[in-house]
Amino acid sequence: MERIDCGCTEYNELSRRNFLGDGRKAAAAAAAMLATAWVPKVVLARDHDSARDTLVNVFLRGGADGLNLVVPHGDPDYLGARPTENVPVNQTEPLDTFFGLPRAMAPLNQFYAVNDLLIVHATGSTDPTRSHFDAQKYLEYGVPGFRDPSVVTGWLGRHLATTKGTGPLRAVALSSTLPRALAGGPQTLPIRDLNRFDLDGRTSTLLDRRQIISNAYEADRSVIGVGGLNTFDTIDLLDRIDARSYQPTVNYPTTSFARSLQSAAALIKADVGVEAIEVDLGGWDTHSTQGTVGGRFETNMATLAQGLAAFYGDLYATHRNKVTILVHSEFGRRVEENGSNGTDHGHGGCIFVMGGNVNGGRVLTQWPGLSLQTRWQGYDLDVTIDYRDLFAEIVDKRLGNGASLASVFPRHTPNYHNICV
Amino acid sequence: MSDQRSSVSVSRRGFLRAGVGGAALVGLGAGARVAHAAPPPAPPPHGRAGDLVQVLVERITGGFNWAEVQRARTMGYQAYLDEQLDFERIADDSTDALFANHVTLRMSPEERYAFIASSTTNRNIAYAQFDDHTILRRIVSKRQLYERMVEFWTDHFNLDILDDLVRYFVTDWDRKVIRRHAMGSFHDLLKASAHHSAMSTYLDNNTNAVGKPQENYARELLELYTLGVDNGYTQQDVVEVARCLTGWSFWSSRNAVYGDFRYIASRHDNGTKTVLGRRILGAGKSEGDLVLDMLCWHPNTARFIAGKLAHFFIGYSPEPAIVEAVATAYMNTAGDIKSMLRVLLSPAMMTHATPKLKRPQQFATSLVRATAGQVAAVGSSRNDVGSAMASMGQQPYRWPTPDGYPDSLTAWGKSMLPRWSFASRLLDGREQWATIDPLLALAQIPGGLQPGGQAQGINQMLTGGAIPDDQVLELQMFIDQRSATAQTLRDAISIAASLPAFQWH
Repeated sequence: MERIDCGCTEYNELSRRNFLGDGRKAAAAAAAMLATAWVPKVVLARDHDSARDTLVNVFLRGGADGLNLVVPHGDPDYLGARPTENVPVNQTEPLDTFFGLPRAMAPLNQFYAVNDLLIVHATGSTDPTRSHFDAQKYLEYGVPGFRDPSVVTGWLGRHLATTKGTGPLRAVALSSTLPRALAGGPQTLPIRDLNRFDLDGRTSTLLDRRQIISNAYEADRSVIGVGGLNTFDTIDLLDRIDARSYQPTVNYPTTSFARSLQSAAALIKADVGVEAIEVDLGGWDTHSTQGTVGGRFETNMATLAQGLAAFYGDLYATHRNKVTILVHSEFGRRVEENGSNGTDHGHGGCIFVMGGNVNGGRVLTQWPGLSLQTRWQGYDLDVTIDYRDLFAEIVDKRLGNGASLASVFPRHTPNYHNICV
Repeated sequence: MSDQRSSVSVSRRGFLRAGVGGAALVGLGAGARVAHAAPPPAPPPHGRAGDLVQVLVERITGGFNWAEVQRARTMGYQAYLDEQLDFERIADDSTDALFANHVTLRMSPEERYAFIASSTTNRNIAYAQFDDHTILRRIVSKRQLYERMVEFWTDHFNLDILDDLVRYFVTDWDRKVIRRHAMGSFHDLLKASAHHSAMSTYLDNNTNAVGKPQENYARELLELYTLGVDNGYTQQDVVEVARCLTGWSFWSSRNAVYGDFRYIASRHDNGTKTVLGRRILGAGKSEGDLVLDMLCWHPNTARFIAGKLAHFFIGYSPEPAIVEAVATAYMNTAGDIKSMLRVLLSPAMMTHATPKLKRPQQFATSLVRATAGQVAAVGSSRNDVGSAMASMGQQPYRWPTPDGYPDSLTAWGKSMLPRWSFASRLLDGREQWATIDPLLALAQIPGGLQPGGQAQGINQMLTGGAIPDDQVLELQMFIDQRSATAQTLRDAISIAASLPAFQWH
């Protein structure tokens, strides 16, 4: 079985131990116990590589219906396949002569207009599975259709592991568990709420408690040892940034998705070397009562578009040239709606790419058509643009890591589509 | 099996290092160290070397507890396991009594609907009482293995309480599907799940009808509940299974039959289907029963269930021979769960156990169990059980997708702070549902309260002695620098619970 040689085990992170100085081992404990003050471990990134964008990865979990996120009104088979679950043409904003954006997605139009938003259609993972869990897994691991069970690190994790970072927190997922795309990434943590990331308990013993716990994690050779150390560094980092008092330049919606994006903006604007941020949005598995217009799906689109629009607007003046935002799902949905006013698991869908250096303002597609003859396996929108081609171009041009593409997306020779500069 | 090396004799460090490629010591700069010029000798796994009884207790209960391990040692491995397998004979009235006032647990779906729909307060009460029931039983029940199996099946057949009508049906599901069959027959369990309204509404099979098949449930039935993903079926099989299950629904009128299984013949597709290569002629509801039988008897189902059980109890990468042995037990007994467990949990298998990271719920229950905490079913409050579990990302019945909470190092291995915070809150007395008396807790450990020995006592109490010596020393210095008051010991226990050793079992 072919193994992915990417030099990206968790233990790359251990080299940080040198940087931190001598481990505070038991022999030093006595001295340490007497000292009531500890030296902050964090060295804020002074010369963070500003040539690299911060990548914001938004995973629409559940299989988002690409045909209704970006509507192919120019395709003669769209309305026939979707007698109920369609977006009428008069409820869309035309993107070009073929595609339209539903009104719930309208907040994104302004960025399409200034060419910062690129929409890619009939794209996604080439993995044939219609299982959410396998589709997500192999997409995040970056090995669709290849499925080597020995690959247990994510594409973003491998990107981070093959580049040098400067900050104490290189990547963060705003969730309770670590998404697979980030697995294997050094200085990478899941944090549900950036504003509440602090050691709990009595302040009178805080420093000593911290000392003992951090010593133990520093000595630990496992994944949790690394995670524990990163935790303390991140506590200090967030304390220094004081994300809680962050003042955005726009008003964010009150959804938890938007709140997460707001704290992501605080991190990005602090310029502390955070290179990747994942924010997921679920609720796209619309097997029944999809509510394309006036229902669940439309609400979810509004959450997505309003959150992203606020986020990008907040970053626009100062950071639009320092971020790339990727929005994608594990697969699209069946071309034909089912009998429950819903749609079953499909294949191709759409991907959104935003940023100041994105060649946007257009829909990039090699449209395969929705007719029975052109559907993938007779059911689904085909994938004519491999998501890895898009992600790889970003890793190369915006994240400065073209040299490691063979590890980031093994067994894939990327074919760029000129999506960014 | 005989030539396989015992994993238990392999150190935890060795195991973890092997798991990620053997580069563990690169860049350590170890020369500067005084205490350990060379890498420290590998400690036995959690200090449990050769102590299979402790490994067994930790895996089949809500967590290590000093008295429980002593009891198991006295009984002997097999007698303790037999006791836990024969759970019906363990009186557990005191556990049931804990929930005497949690009336929503025993409501019918009709009553539950009326209660929950009447106010937000009532809805929160219903949720909190169910969270109490799920988590507190794992702490105090004498049927510990049974509660572990409830946990296992709850993940296997995961439901999201916030989805559709699940909230009204979920306690009925817990009683009549999960708890009724948790240690019975997998065949019965699968069939009960397929007939239950909670599953039906969660995966939309109630809308699956002739001419408009709905494959959500059919797909997960094959992928998550029986054969395993892409393991012997095709997309066409998914479609055909969905057709067989058309018309399988539940009574939606909110009266005495609310949520009962209902087969609606007019919505059934009576055409001929082909499932897994077998032609199925139109025969109404029995087509679905036939499909379930085919899946129950399928060897891939046996292997899939065996593999998940081994992953749960033995380790992240169980030996294939273990899985095979459990799968054989499944095939030989028509999916009898106790028979599978009897093989899986035998000493011969348990010697292959490798360390697993506790998931947040197990972290919480193990901390309360180890410290002999007193629990109270407080229901809805600011600091209730559900909030505590949510703070660590594992509130019961809140994982939205049908695959259930992950059980992997990748998912949970970097989320330590929420655990440390929980330990602080619990030991500081800020969790209303559990009270720890540190003096009483340590008094159960021989020498646990002796001056100079408290840290070792805490180590024994939490892990049976798995915390490395240097860390025990640091902890003792923490205590010695203060007076060994209850408050100091609270802090010390919370520190110890935050150390790496307590994260594993």
